[in-house]
Amino acid sequence: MAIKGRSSFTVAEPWAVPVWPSTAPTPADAELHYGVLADELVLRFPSPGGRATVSVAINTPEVDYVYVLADERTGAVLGIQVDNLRPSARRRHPAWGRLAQPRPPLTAVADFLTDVTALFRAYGAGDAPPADDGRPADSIRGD
Amino acid sequence: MPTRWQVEDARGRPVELAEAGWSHIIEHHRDDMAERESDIRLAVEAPDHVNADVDYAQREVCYRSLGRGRRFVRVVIHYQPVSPQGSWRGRIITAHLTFREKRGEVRLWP
Repeated sequence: MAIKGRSSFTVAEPWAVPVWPSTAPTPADAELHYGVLADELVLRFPSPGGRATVSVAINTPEVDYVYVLADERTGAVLGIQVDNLRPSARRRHPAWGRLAQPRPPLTAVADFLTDVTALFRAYGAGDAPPADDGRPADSIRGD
Repeated sequence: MPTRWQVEDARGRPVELAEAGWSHIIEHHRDDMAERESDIRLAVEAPDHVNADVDYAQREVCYRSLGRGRRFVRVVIHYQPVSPQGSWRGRIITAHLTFREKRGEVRLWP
């Protein structure tokens, strides 16, 4: 809404429309951090450093709990963040609980990437709409 | 655990950022938050609003707009009672940039 007497302008927010990488990130290349005290998981895809990101929630029903880390300038998804991993795992994705362990197996990371990819496609994130892949959202494991 | 700084939150309780909390923030959100320590501090001292965490009863979440656009600094604080006075002290456990309040949180302040 424009304020009377002032010119309106559009703020460029490329990060608000996150773009999933065209090449699937491999678990072996991803950088995984889990903070016990914060109960926060961050998985970063390989990318050049120095790229600031905004945590943009995947539009899962009712509650936000998983975010994509969207490049502030381009919207490219550079990683994934899960808030309150342990309750999220308990309620929605039991397999994600393995990621709170030190050095989780690559299969656990691969399953996590598969799940989040499916959530992103089913629900979209921020202003990015769901991808139309013809799959019902309730077919996603654990959600 | 060394403290980097301590401020009062919007309701007058002491809140600290320990070196361990800062290390966590830098490790998890390095390229976003390394230059935003003052924004974290402001979000605690003068938030736009404060919510209760969805899952953890002793956690509160401060949001402060970065101004132009829709970005917020989101700071998660864990509060513990301080004996014997019965007051509370908070510790920042993480912080990042986000674009909306987390759905599911309940407004505590203002």
